[in-house]
Amino acid sequence: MLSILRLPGGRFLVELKAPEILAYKEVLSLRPKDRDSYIQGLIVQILGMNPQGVTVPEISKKTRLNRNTIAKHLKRLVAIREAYSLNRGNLSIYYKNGKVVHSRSSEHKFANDRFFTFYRLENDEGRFIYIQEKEIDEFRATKVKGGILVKDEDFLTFMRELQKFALEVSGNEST
Amino acid sequence: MSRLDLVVEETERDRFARTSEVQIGDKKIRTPNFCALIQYPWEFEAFMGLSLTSTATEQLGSYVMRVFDASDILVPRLRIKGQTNLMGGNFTDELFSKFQRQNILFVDPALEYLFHEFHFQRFTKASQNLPIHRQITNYLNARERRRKNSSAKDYEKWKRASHTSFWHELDRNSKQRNDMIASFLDVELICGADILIPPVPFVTSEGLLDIALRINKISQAIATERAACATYFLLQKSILRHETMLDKIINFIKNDTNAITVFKFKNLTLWESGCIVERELFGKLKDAITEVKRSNPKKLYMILESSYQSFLCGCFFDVVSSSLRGFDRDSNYGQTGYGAWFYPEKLCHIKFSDLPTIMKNNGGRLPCNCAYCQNLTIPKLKNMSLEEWRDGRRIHYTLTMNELMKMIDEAIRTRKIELTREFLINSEMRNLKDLIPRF
Repeated sequence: MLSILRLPGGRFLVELKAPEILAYKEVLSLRPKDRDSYIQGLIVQILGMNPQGVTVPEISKKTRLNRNTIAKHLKRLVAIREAYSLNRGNLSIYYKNGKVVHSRSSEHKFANDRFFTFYRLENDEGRFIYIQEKEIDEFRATKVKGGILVKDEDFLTFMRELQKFALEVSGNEST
Repeated sequence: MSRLDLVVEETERDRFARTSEVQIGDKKIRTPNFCALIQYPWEFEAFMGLSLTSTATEQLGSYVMRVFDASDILVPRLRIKGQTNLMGGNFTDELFSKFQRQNILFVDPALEYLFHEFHFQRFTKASQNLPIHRQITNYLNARERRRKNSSAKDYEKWKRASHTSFWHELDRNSKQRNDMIASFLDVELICGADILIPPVPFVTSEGLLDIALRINKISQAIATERAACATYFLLQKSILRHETMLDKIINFIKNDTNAITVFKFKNLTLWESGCIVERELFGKLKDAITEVKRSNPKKLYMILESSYQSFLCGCFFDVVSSSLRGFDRDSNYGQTGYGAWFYPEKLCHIKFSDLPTIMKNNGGRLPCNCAYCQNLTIPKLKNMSLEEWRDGRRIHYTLTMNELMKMIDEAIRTRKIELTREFLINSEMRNLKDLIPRF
């Protein structure tokens, strides 16, 4: 029923694709930090494998994970712009935020071991510049801390606004 | 999008062999690649110097360290790198940073040393530097105590049983097992590893193989957000006498979605005349690997501690690793004196005392085209200090392995891979020739 609502035109029969999933018992016995990153990685993989979009109940049914857990991770992925959601009535459908066409990491390391990666993404709605803020944690693993997504055609305007803001702030501070 | 994925591009193929380009982040290597096993600080200095200055390093670009070696060699350097000096700037070791940016590092958990005794104390010492899981250090301490307090015969019997029961108990307690896996992956990241290697048991029986398969799967899950993680098989040589176990491994690698698979056969001596069954089953494994790579060229296979089989393995595995001495046996560990020289054409070692005779018969030079051997004369050799020779023969071995891998690369590019078989026939490793098909 949910599939019919979501995908008109005969595409509702598509079954959710998922990678090999660890047994539920094994997931539970992971360290909380590892469990979180595993579930998030799994959801990113599921989003990537299902370009038609996925819902929380669908992922829950496939993975046997709690709906609240999945919703929490999806919200985070939307917040850091790795995914985006579309609302159809009461239903939220989640999509991976496009295909990476080009990427480059900043050579400069900012304070607290943070750096930025710039991506060019492509999806049905056009091309985007995606900036991810990343942090190197105590084990030298890279964690995504935040992100911003700007449409290609708006990017120059965005940069001008940012520059204006920076000048304004520095002007205020010097006076 | 947070972790760096391994990208493998096949460039050339000739029948069962292929060349490829492997990229992880900004680091690139060409295969067949020689991955040096670095065990001592001086080896690291020699390898770093070579990789930063020499031009003959096309088939190098990766290195592997056992976790306790990395704790001695890499961790102090990495700590200094992160410190701030009195002037407010950072301590920088430019050469080390440059070397790190160019070379792919693997850190081997080397858990075969929970079975073999050679590095018990170094493992325990490493746990002072790195957060090695308590279960492991407790087990090592118990083993060490038992070794000191019982007769050699009793200890041998007990050791095998205790190793098996340690892993089975750990496996039964999934929380502890997953904790151990995560802590090892963290240790590898602390050491700066680019590709993670799961802490699998040293497989001596079918039960341990099942545990190794399980640990591989869980490691994949835990490493999701950390870094690319390999599938790892750490096997006793005798596994090559058990077809059912080998079939299980082959079945696993055929269905495995992971990009990189690493094998380590401890003390593998396929060239010995008595190893007929082992050679046949090794042939079965390499056929399976060839088949998988044909159907999925994005897969990468690596073999650790390949010793005298390195040249042969270069035809089937993408990355071949061996120690800078060319020996991969713990029994030879710690010998003093002038070490043997690796004879490139014969693919075996020659005693240091025989070198002057060989040089005399070869117009005063060693029969090797590497930059190090070309500068060596008989008087120089006779006046050489122990340290000079120690570093020199390691540089020679690395350059030779680069040349041998280049030879395989060239044979693939010119579609004449059968020449590698000819090369083996003319060497002391001729027993291995049948592993390279004629067609």
